[in-house]
This record gives sequence, structure tokens and C-alpha cells, in this order.
Amino acid sequence: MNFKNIDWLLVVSIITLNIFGIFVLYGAGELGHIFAYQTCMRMFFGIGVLFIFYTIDYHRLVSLAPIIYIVAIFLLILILLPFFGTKIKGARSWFRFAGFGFQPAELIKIAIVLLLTNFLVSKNLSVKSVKELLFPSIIVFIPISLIMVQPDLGYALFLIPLSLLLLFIGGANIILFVTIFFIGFLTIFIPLYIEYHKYMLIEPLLVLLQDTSIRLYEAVKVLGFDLWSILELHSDKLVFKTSLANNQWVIKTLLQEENYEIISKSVEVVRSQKPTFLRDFFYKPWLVFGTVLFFVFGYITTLLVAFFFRENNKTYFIRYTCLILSLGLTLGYLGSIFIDLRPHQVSRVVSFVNPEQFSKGAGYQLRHSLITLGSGQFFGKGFTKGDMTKGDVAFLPEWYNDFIFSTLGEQFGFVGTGFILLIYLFVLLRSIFIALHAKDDVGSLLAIGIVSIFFLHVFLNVAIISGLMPVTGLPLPFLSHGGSNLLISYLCIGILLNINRQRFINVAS
Amino acid sequence: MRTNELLNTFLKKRIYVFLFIILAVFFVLLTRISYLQLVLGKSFYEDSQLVIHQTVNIPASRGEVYDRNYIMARKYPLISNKIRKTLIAIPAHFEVGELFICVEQLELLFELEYGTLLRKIEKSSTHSYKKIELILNMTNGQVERFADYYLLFSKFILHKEIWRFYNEQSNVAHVTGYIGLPSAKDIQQGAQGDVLVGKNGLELIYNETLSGEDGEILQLKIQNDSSGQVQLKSVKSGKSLILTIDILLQRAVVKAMQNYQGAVVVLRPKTGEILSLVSTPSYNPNLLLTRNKKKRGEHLRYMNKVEAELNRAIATKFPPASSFKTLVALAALEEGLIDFNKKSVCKGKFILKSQYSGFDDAVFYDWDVHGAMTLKNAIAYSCSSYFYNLGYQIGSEVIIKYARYFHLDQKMGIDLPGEITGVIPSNLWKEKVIGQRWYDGDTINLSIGQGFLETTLLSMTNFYSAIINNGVAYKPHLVKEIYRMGTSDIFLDTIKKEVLYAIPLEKKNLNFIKEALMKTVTDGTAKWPFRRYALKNIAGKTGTVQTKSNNRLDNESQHAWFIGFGPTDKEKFYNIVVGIFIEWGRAGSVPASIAAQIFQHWDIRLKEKSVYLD
Repeated sequence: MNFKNIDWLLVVSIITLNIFGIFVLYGAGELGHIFAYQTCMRMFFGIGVLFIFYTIDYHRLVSLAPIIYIVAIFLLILILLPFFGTKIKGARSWFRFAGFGFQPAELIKIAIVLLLTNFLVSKNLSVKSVKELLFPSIIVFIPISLIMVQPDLGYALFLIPLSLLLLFIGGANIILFVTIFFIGFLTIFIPLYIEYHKYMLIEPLLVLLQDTSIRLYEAVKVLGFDLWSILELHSDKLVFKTSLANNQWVIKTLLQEENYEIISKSVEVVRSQKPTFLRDFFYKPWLVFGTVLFFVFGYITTLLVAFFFRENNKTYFIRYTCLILSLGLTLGYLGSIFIDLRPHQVSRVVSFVNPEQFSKGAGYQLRHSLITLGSGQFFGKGFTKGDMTKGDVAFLPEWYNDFIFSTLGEQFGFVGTGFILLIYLFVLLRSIFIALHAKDDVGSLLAIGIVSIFFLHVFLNVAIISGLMPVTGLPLPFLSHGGSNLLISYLCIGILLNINRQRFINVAS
Repeated sequence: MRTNELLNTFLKKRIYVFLFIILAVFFVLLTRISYLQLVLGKSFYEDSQLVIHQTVNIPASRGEVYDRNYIMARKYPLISNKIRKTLIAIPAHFEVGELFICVEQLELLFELEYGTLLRKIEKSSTHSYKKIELILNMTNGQVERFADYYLLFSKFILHKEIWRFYNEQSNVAHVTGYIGLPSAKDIQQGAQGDVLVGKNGLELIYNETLSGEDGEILQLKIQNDSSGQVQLKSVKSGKSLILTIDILLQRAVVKAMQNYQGAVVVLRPKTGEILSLVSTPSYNPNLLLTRNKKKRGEHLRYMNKVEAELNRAIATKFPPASSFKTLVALAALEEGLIDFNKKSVCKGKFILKSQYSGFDDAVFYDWDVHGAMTLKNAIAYSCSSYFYNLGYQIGSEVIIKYARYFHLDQKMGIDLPGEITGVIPSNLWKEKVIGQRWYDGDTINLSIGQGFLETTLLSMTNFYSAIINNGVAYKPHLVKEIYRMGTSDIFLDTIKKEVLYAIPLEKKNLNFIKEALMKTVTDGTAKWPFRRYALKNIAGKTGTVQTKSNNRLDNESQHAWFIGFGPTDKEKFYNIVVGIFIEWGRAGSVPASIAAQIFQHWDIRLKEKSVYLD
């Protein structure tokens, strides 16, 4: 093994990050001691992985990309089966075998980066038509839908900006890119919007039912957000979901003819009390269908005008607007029907839009995260002196994982957070340096993919804990106490080092 | 920066754009973090210092009790927890004269007549620490108005207490029972001194189920922001009971029984559910819990006087009299000792020849001279002399055997405290208790359900439900569901029916008995009360107990029974068995008319489909 060509600066900075993470964990109470010890062990394992991937030629990895991708997808499907997958915090996202846990959602990140690199290079870094974008959309859409089923909203949404970023750098046409971006935005926004409004209806519904029928009131209170899935499924007389089977009596109550009528009427009443144009629009399928048809018609008309009158430039804007709206509406509407968001996910969106409504659930996490982070001030409270993570029951939930940056901020203050952010920035800049000096386009693009992974992790995580974005679970690479994430992060750095190493081999030969 | 010239220039351009994005994003993040840590840092630091770890005990609320219609999303709470807010003043907390002025202002605030509150503080001395309850049961409007002017009246105390309210007053008192302060024995068994425990009825039997478990929470308080709470031990609020009682039926029964002293049990033969259980005179649990000592004392004295707390349906036993004849007839038929068509002539009396010469023959009188009688008519017209003959013929052993088959001397296992067993006399029993041997006269008495035989109303009623069920009787029970509302789940325990006894009986015999009992209502002893309500398809049997004074002319000295079931033209699913026992009543026709009212109510309810059966 040739250690001469290792980028020691990069290695030292990521190990600094990891050791800093261990200190933060150790400094946060007794539970933290155990986590720090575990992370220590994992670090040595990770460094081993790093050196293994340092020696593997990245070209071979890129050519193997389809196989890696298929394996990752296979694992994602496998953990959905109750025998293989373990349920942690409501999501079936863990693969547990012989004492080792693994999260396949981590593997799919690097698999997508490899496969997209493979694809973009084969297209010679220029993607100009919608047809060419079909393949990348499919390879991103499959894992997203699989992760959504787990359900792990954080990782599912993570893959969208990752692939968009890679496509953008890998040569997608900028107009095409904007189109895709807006369609994607509508696809996500419409289901969330509809679910948000469903959530907001529960409380007035409870108030209404409290006076009229107590049994239904209790049924709705127990079901909460799940009420909608029962009501919607009942209209088709379908079998109920297994997760709801525990509350058989609720179903029994709701399905009594009399009660079903009462609740349907109450929902209508509550809806008519607070009319909202956009929400009511989506409750009328024929109206949505008509609007989509209208935009499709507009698209075809402009296309014909452009073809017959050779006025491509003037109709350009209208045509793409029509395309975005028709496709976005269709996908968003279909998404709202088929994607089944869990109550805790919707409540996070609601608490971000409407923080007063939810001071207890997701809003509580955010508020405590801000207090933990902010209370560090400039120099911090000092190592092992944090108040918010002490004791049997920490004030800040998930302080060791998604919210570790806040924990860091409390102990080491702005000095610590600034220092860590600067190290991250250095790692990213160093990686971009590697990308710019790579031997060929493959290496450059792959390096950019890895940089995107790290960049998005750091950006999203810090934005979430500092209240710039709705709370979804994403770890911070090298700092969080999570084995799979640490392993994949070291693996990524190993690939980066190999890209860097081949530059010298090239020069030498 | 020198870069690799071999790279795609387009790619490089985009990488520079990406580089710019990264720098911009990190700039935003650093700005945000520095804003949070440096600008807002101080207030966040203060917040984090005000964090309180506080363990708070949360008392579990006692479960509520509902009637069976709860499942239909109609709510009839029998027992509910209400919150009572009381305004209290302690004179010693006020300066001299201040209390008077404050209370005067309070009167103005609440728009009360002058003097309504002042009267309450008149007697107290200025330095007394004794609490004065100014306003009991403040309304929400009053509390709001008080809160608006809280600064003016900050020396008053607003006391909040949870208070158990028996919505039906005395209607279901014997079923629900009541709560009270724990006795020394209760405290030994782990009750807390200040928590009320069940004293009678379901409140006593289901005390543990109803009382729940106290919880503990760790409060993570930041200033007044009580959002952060971690449950150490979750409060398990008491489970609520959904009873088998149908409150509308219960009210109808209470109304029918208002002038009589006795008990009524309405059973569903198919499940053993008790739809209604009434014992009169009744008492009002709310008066037992009231703070008004005078009212409470008065009520207690009244209860002692009339023995109101005694549940006459399960805790008293009397001879079943003529209602027992059904069992005698059934026993004779089952043993094949009698033919359906056997006739005998009733001369109004039965003469038992003395076994010893020189002694007078014993004469047992019937209440009427019936003439020629078949078995069916003997049941319908309650011909005693026919049964004297029959009993003498089949002997006491057979009757005793069948009485035991039907558990007339055992507890029914109802979930109420204080159930007693009946007595079935036998040779052995008589020698042991009375010290005499069994005479033939005892057999004669036994055959019409008199003499030493004593049964509870519940066990007799259950015997009649076994007739409908072809010999199967279910354990009578009062609780249908036990449930608890959690924040996200529900605990639900449905009480299943339990077979108490199953006796293989021949169907034709049972059908014969049913027909005979129907004839009682259409033509026989219970004809008139039912004819008044134009009720058909009811079967039943009256019974009149002669007490020891045995004054036939004095109706007041008789106890009366009626046990019936119906409607017989409908499926067993809709049938009910009504057992009525009236102390010092006026022969069997009085309970029969009460039964007619109950059956009429049931008929209307079935037509309206306003009763929940499952």
C-alpha cells in the first residue's frame, strides 16, 4: 500500500471531527460515556474501511454501480419484511443481523451517486431532453418510495436535492433543471399541503363531536390523524391497516352506520366552517382533472403554435409553465393519494408552519434545541458542564444523534461550533479541490457527488437544529452517534482519497 | 488555482457555481449560529439555568360509569366526575374590616343581592383561621370574572376539587353503590387516607378497576413554559365501566315501583346481563357525599329506618310461594311421574291423614275452590290443592333435587356485594337446624313453595331464564365492558357470558311449562293486569306468600311475587325475564301489574329500536 499519495490534511481533519464528536458525547452525561466508547470503536473500524476503499480503483466502483444499486434496493425491500427489519422509533429502517445493525438508507446514497456518475459520464455530461432524464428520475424515485414506506421522511427527502445537485453539476440543461425542480417541488408540496389541512381539521372536529356524541369523540381522539385513512378506506370498503388493528373497537364504532353518518356530516360541517380555496380545490377530483387537462391542452397548443408559426421563443415560457403545472399537479395529486404520511411527520410540518399549535411535540424538540445551542454563548459552558443533556432524562431528545450540534454548542460555545463548521467547510473545499484536480471526468463527478452528500448532511442538519427548516431526522457525519452513517462517511472519504491518489499515478505514468 | 486541463470545462464551470453555493450556505449557517449563540445567547443561557427537575405526583381520576347505550354513541353517565370550584375566605388573612369591604365588592362583581355573601361572614371572628366557603359551585362565568379582578381579591382562595356525582340520584343506587372515606381496614390494605374508596355496590366490587394508578411526571420546566414533561410513571386513570343496565328501562321500573317496597330484576336470558335492578326504598348517594351535615344526617336516619341500603333483590330471602309451583311441575314432568293430562278435582283443601291414631288430620287450604283441574290449568290458576296432591305423590326428594339443580340454595355470583343464598330444606337440614324430623306436612308445604323454603329474587329469576334457555342459565352480571381511554390507545375488556348451570331438560316438558305460564297471563291469575295494557305473548307466574300471621283477609300481611318472561313471539335475543318481589304487597296481582308496565316499556323500546342489544 502506498501511503505517500494520501491526502493527509483531509484524513486529519475528518479524524479531528470524529474525535471532537467523541468528546462531545463523553461530556454529556453517563449515557454519553457509553456512546463515546462505542463511537471510539467504530472510528477504528471506519479508518480500516477508509484504507480499504483507498486501495480500490474508483473506476471499478463506478462500473459496478448497477450491481451496488440493486443490492442496496434489495436490502431496502428486505428490511420492510418484519423478520429482517427492526422497528426503532416508529420506523422500520434498521437491518439487524448477528448483533450488528445497519441502515440500508445510508448505502443507497452512495449507490445513487455512483450510478448517476456512471449515467452522466456515459451521456458525456450533457443531458438536454426530458427523455434522457427519465432514467435518473426512475433510479431516484424507487428508493425514495421504499424509504417513504419505512417511513423515514428525512432520508427520502435527502435523496431529491442530492440527485438534483449531481444532475445540475453533471450537465443537465438549466431550463430542464428548473422544470424538474418545480415539478418536484409541487409533487412534494401538494401532499404536504393537503395533509397539513387534514391535520388542522382534527381539533375543530373534536370540539364539534364533544357535544354531540362522546363515543365518536373518543374514537377520533384515539385515532387522531389516522382518522382520515380509516374514513378514506371505508369509502372503498377495504381491509384496514394492521397498525390500526389494535384499536378494533374504534373501527367497530366508526363503522356503525349511524356513527359513520354522523362523522361524515361533522367533517363536512367543519370544512365548511373554514373554507380555504386551495384545499377545497383538491377535494374536488373533477376540478383537479379539468385543470390538468386545461394545462395539457395549453402545452399542446403552444407546441403546435411553435411548430407551425416558428415562434419558439415567444411560446417558450408559456409552454414550460403549462408543463410544470400539469405534471406537478398530476404527480402531487397522485402523491397525496398514494403516499401515506405518518402523524408524527405531518405534525413536524405543522409545527414548523404553526409553532404555537404544537408546543409539546415537535415544537418542543426545536425549542429545546435552540436553548441548548444558544445557551453556550461564546465560550460555552465547558466540557462536561452541559445542563440540557444531564440526568437520566435529557431535556433535549435525540441529543446524541440528530441534535448533536446543539450539544456541541452548549459545551463549547460559538468557538466550538464555529471551529467545527470551519473544519466541515475545509473538508468540503478540499474535496472540491480533489474534484477539480481529478484524473478524468468520472473521478471529478464522483468527488462532487461525495461532496454533495457531506454538504447536504451538514447544511440540512445545522439548518434543522437552528430552526431554519422543519424537523426531520438526519445525522451529522463524523459527529453523530450512528454506526451506519459513520461507516459510509469513512467509505466516501476513502473513495475521495483514491480519486486523489490516481492523479499522481497518472502523472507518474 | 491550477486545475486539471483534461477535465470538461463545462463541468468545471458548474463546480465553481457549486463552490459558490457552499460558501454562501456556510455563511448563512455561521450567521444563524452566531445570531443564536452571541445575540440571543444570554437569554437562552438564562432559560437553561431556570430549568427545573421536579417530580410531581399526579392523582389518577376515578373511572366513570355509563349505561349500556354508551356503545351507541349516546351518553347516559350514571356516575361522573365533576369539578367543583369553591371560593374560600380565611378571615385571619385579612386586616380588620378589609374582609367586609372585599366581600361587599364581590357581591357587586357577581351581581348578587346585597347580603347574600355578607351573611356568611357575619358570625366569624376577625382572627379566625376557619375556612368560610363563600360561593360553592362557582360557574365558569363567575370564575372568569373573578380572574379578571384577581389583583383586587388575591386574598381569597379559589379551591378546586373533583367531586363524584351520581347523575341518576337514587335510581341506580343499589347497583352503583357509593364511595366514602376509607375505613381502618381499607387503609391497612393500602388505601390512601384522603382518597375516597368504594363502599357499596359496583363502586366497592370494582374499586381497584375504577381507582386506577397514580402517575409521576418529571417536570422539565423552563420558566413558565411547562411544555417539557417526561413521564416517569404514567397515570393510569381509573377504568370506566359500561354497565349492562339500560337506564331508560331502569327509570321506568323505578317509576312503576315508587309506591311499593320490594325489588325488581330484569335479566336477559340469552347472556345473563341484568338490564335493570331496582330495590325500593332506595337512597341517594349524592346526599351521602354532601358537605351539608344536616341533610346527610337526615338521610342516614331515613336509610336506617327503612333499611334503604339493603338490596332486596339479592340480600333478602323469602318463600317463593306459587312461583315455585313451576319447578314442582317441571320436576314431576322430567321424572315422568305425571302425565300432561292428569286431572284432579280441587275441593279447596287437601287433607293429610294423620299417621298416628287419635290425632287430627292436617288440613291444607287452597285460596279458592277450582274444581276439575289439568296440570296446565293448575299452574295458570295457581291451584294449590292440585300441587298438594302432586307434591305428596312425587315426594320431597325430587323437589329438593330439582331445586338444587337450579342453584336455588347457591349464590348466583352477581358482581354486587352482600349476596346471600336461599335455603332448601331437607331432612338433614331440618334435623340440624330445627331439631325435628321431616314430616309429610313439610313436603306438602314445600310443594307450593312455602314452609322452610326461602329463595332470593335473583335466583328465582334466573330459574325462569333457564326455562327459556332450555335449562341453561348464565351468570347474572352488571358490567358489560371495562375500558380506559388512553392518549393514543384504548384498553377494552368485554365481559363474556358465563354458564352458571346447564341442565338437560326435555323440550316438550319445557314447552308445556311455557304454554302453562302463558296461559297464566292470558286467562289465569295474572290476566287482569296484563289485559289492561293489551300485552300478548307474555308468560309468567304470580305468587303470594302467607306470612306467619297468616291472616288471609289482611292483604298487608302477604308478600307477593311475579316472575315472567317475554315477548315469547320474538326470538330469544329480544326476550327479557322480569322478576318482581314486593314485601307486604296485595297478592300477586300487584307485581303482575308492575311487570305489565315493564313489558310494555320493553315493547315500545323494541319497536323504536332504541335499545342496544348485541
